[in-house]
Amino acid sequence: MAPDGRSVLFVGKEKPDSAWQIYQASLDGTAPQRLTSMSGGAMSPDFVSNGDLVFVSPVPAVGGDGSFPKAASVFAQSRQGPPHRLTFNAHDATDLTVLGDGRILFATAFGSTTAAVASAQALFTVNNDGTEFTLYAGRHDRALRIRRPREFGNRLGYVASSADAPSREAWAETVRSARPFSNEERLFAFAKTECASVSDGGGGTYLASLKHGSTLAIYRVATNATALGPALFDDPAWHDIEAVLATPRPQPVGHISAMSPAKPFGTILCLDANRTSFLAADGSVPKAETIRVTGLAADGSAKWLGNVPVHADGSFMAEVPADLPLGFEALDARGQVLRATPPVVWVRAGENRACLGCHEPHGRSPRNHRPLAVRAPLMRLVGPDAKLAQTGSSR
Amino acid sequence: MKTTLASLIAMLLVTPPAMFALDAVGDVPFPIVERFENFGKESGIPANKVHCVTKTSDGRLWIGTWDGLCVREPNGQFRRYGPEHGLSHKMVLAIVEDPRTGDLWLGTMRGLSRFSAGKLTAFTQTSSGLPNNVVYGVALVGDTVWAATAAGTGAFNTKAGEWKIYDHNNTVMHEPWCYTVTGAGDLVYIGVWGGGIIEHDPKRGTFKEYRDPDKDFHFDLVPDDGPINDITSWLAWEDGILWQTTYFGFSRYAKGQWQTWVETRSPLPSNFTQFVWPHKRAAWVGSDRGVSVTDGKFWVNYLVGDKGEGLVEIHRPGATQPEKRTMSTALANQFVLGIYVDDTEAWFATSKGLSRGVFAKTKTAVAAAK
Amino acid sequence: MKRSFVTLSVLVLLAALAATWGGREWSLSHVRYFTGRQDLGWVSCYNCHLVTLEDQPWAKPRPKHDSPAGLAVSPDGARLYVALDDRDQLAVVDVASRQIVQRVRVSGNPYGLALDPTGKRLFITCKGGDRVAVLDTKSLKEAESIEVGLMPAGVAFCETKSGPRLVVANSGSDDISILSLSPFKEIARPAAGREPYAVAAARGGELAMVACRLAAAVGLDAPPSSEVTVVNPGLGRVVSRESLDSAHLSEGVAWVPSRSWALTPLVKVRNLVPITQVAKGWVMSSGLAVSDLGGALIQMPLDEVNDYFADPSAIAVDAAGRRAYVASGGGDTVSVIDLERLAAWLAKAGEREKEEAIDDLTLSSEYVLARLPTARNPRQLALSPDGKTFFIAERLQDSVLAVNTETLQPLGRIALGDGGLSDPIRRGERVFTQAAHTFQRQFSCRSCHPDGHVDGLAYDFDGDGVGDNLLDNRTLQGVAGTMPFKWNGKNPSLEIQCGPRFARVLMRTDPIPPADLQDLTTFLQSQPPARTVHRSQQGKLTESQEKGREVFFATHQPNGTPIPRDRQCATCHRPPLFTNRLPSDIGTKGRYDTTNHFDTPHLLGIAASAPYLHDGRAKTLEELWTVYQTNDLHGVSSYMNKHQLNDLIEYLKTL
Repeated sequence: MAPDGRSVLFVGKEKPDSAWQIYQASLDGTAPQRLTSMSGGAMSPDFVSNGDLVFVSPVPAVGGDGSFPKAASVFAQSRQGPPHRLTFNAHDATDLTVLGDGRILFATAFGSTTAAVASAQALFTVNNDGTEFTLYAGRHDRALRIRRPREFGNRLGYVASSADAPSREAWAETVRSARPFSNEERLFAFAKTECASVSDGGGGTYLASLKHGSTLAIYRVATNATALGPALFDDPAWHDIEAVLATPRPQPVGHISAMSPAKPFGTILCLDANRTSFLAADGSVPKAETIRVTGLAADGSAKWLGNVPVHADGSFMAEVPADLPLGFEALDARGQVLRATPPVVWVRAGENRACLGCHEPHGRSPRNHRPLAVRAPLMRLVGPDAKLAQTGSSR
Repeated sequence: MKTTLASLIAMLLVTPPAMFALDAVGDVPFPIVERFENFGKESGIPANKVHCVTKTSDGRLWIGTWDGLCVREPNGQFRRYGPEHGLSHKMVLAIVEDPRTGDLWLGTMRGLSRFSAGKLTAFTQTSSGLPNNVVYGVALVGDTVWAATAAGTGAFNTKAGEWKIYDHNNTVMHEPWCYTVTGAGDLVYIGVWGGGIIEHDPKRGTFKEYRDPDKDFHFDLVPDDGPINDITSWLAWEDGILWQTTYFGFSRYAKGQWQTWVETRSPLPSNFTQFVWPHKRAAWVGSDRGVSVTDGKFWVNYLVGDKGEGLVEIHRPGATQPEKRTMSTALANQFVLGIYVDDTEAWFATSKGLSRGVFAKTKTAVAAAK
Repeated sequence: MKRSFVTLSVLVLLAALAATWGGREWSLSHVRYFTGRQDLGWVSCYNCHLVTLEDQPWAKPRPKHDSPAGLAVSPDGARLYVALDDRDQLAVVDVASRQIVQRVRVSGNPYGLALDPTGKRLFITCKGGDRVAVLDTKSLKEAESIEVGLMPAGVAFCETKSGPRLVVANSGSDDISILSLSPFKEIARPAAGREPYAVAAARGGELAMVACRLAAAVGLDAPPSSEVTVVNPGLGRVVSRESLDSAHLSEGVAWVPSRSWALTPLVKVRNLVPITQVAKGWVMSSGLAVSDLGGALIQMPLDEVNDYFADPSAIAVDAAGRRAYVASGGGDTVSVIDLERLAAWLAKAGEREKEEAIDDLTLSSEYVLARLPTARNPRQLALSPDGKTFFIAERLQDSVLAVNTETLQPLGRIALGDGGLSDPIRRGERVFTQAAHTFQRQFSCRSCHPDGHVDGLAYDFDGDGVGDNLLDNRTLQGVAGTMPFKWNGKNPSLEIQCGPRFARVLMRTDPIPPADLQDLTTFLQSQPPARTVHRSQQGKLTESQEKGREVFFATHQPNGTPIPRDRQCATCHRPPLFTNRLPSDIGTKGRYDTTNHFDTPHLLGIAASAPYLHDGRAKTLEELWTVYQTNDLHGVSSYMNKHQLNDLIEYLKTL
């Protein structure tokens, strides 16, 4: 629903063999207008604060997992202009929603090489210019597929299903925005039925799409309900997948971009590469001496970009190519890999991106200190591409 | 009967020294130290050289050493504060307490420090209006902290946050090297190294200079005519009496009258006097040859013999010879830099350790025991 | 005719051009002569001339508002006293009807309130009058008055073994006035931390805790810390000085008798970390210090992973010690903390967990029971003696909200004024204190500029290079007429300074909308310079200050050597604002600075703006010349002795 409560966005196709596209329909009954013309289709629409449409494209193939650079990504499109790509995720971004604080929240795979299921998803956020790609919620020990995330006041709800068997029954759950990394609460457990969507029903209720008989129907369920009442709407000929309230809602907060589009690089600063959740068997953290940075190539391989020395306090900083998923390997003095993250994080042009550590504990703020890395000359990591190295930082 | 006899014998064995002590010292109008307890590194004092010692109004003992400020804990050990805690320099030369707030003001070799509830704040010549970093002496007069430094005396009004500097540029001071400063009722006295004594009236803003009229370093040509010497090493004031130590003798000033003493013509053991602490109108003087206590008439000197033994000399007015005794213990060292005396005990800061002077029992106390 | 007209026109045009060109040339040579700077191009006359203090917006009369400051509830719970500092009034409110029954005039900006246990005497700190007034609550007449330090803010009554005491936080002179009540006099004035602000009695009055707002100047790379000063009011002595590491802006303190806890709301600041993002508390987050006043102090977070409650101000604790209420001035919220749950977490947490707690934004959910929305800018709190009601002073709404402590539901609002929205200065202050302008409401303008002043910290904005151009924050008090802004003088107006650029660099949201931006700049322009001179000393220069004035305006050294014009203090620091608003090179370019020319700051209120220079490397004014002077580039000081430097500093302290 648009923030003004007067029009609705939906995903549809004109003909059975057309690609899914995004349409906008005014509630006064005039004909819906097609907003997108993405060749692979578009889905999961929402508006950001300046009125731009954001969506995912292409529509991921059922059962398939696209990978960079063709993985389904988040795009933004203004009324006048062409769509432009915001995210450079290594795996398909599937469902998105725009949060009240202005960020775009979407589901995509962790991409972890150690996860039980490679396609296990979590929820991530970016700013409305694709910067600050950050984990919002999700845990490695719960291999889930996540659909239709929605914000409910101080909670974030979504539909989850098992990542290794996505066709199995899906359920709805929420996390508190105050501490989204734990304490997931299942919704409608009493109903013992499959859920396809959940959205804010107003007045302390949810609007949920739940299986009724052989099709999905829309129910309005109070947050403290212990039983499912009658369906609010059920057309047995159709699966009634999703309902949204046609009321105005506060405009999401905006975000003026700090990108420098002309600059093909961004900066990564890590405050302490030895601050990590990857511990040795005895609970200690082996000290990293160097960080080997890779970028995800089109063929799916990790392309070496360069090595950055780690300072005495664990910090490192480097300029890295923008719009490219980056992977990091922490190496000890002998060059052995102590710990690694696969290429999933990107920076946008001119973005300065900082982290607490290397796969750091979630929801933490930094200790107040000046990292040694900011006092050292800034390296530019380009791999063997000497041409790019020539325009390196003058610092 | 038997018990009574045993008790009598016991008393006779115990009492004579006390009685002897009583007879011998009962007439001296200030306490006598009967023995010393000495403290050094084994007590946690970080350095042998102890520059100053004082007790604060809560009864705790504080010393300034060559390597930090120390406070004596209830278990007898000394706890140290150094530059790593914010002390302006490890060499602490003077300590003074603000009785209203409990804050300590410390003169160090590199600035003035305030110690307040465990926290140290440094005032240096570069960060504040302190005239010079070498702070030899500190005094608290009302809201103002006075710091005698190598380049003038600074006065810091803690309420207004204002610094004033007094030196040879704006006062009658002969030169700016100030070694000591003391409050004296409504007045402030500054001891100037080579410039005698400056008397300052803060209300009127006036300065008056007292110089050695003899103008002779080595001889007190005319006694009692003014400060014994211009090289003032310390000043202290109590109950209307100003005491001055110099490297060439010792002076007293009260009611407009001066009294001067030199080692050749008085029981003063050495002209090289460097510190004085007055207590109930008797001056306890530290020199390079021990401690001398006098009210101007009686003198008791505590010296260290050639073999390191403690010696005490009692000089009575009119007596041709002093009463001399050997003590069971001696001062930690005869080079005495600082002294603190109250009604119960005396403490001495020396070049090689800290000494506590245990007072002999008084007449009244011994009589009660009998 | 036509020809002569053309000729005349041409001649007039040529004359005009000549005059303009000549005027420009004259102007250039005039500026270069009088500033001694040959590098200057054309400079507006207004940089040096025709500026008066009277013309500044802050010198003009402005509307007054019924903004509530301190609150106090009578022992019988029937009366609520509200200090209205802007109005020089005390409002007496009937709690039951929530109506004002009387307004009492109290001169000197009444701010903090404390009642004696009988409720017969109300003690009022007068922030602008540098005094404490005693009001008889029956007659509502001022019974006594005593001068204290500069800008007294918080006050607390303490019953001690030595008699009743008042402990007053003198926010402007960094000290604490400890007053005995009979006789009514000051018995001690111990030094506090920087900007002591709030006071609370502890251990039944045996101790008093004073929370200090700002951190002491520490130099470039050291983390700052502020202080909670603990005093023994009976004796007037300082008992301990608790250090809040990397934390500041404490405006409240409370004692929990049943747990022997001292609770101090704080802002945990991360000014040494480059501001590459705001998310995850990278700039700051709010917290609560929990101390046993015996050396054990733990900082606990109050914010959440995805939402913040900026500018924590007052704190109130119920008598049973079950709950604490913390006002968030920037978040328009009061957070309700379950102290039993907090204690339970502390009991089971390990040392490492406690040390790192303040940085764990997921923790507050353990013990924050509720977040109660309030109207604009809740700053002070008071609990009724029976514990059933608590009152929240909604400063920028001109109201006090009453809340039922059991249900946590509002009972009603006490309207003190109309909210003042017809006044653009008031509207601008609302923008200034509104955390909603920053990402996830993490902070507001006020968070770095409390009362429009300065937090005394240096920050690393990433827009110009991570690690480059460290910048000392500057005061906004007295900023009117001192454009341009930014350390390099690149922003010609407050609108540009606080506009889109600021949204990019710090707020990380959309720029402030134009109407709000206009109001914001109106508010900023209305902020007078910081007052650094005690009321009793105003208007007269001491001998030293007068000598310092001569040093400041000197054109020659005492030995007659001329001081080059470009190094005379008054050239760049031209009165009455003490800036010529031009950038200068004073030899202070640091290793990581990308420029050597820095905008000349105004000197009004300079004594209250430590540290100094563009990156805050000089901790005191003295250090500008004793440590950081290079080749007499920052004024000629090499001839000065310590007397002259002291005199100069004394003069600067009067500005």
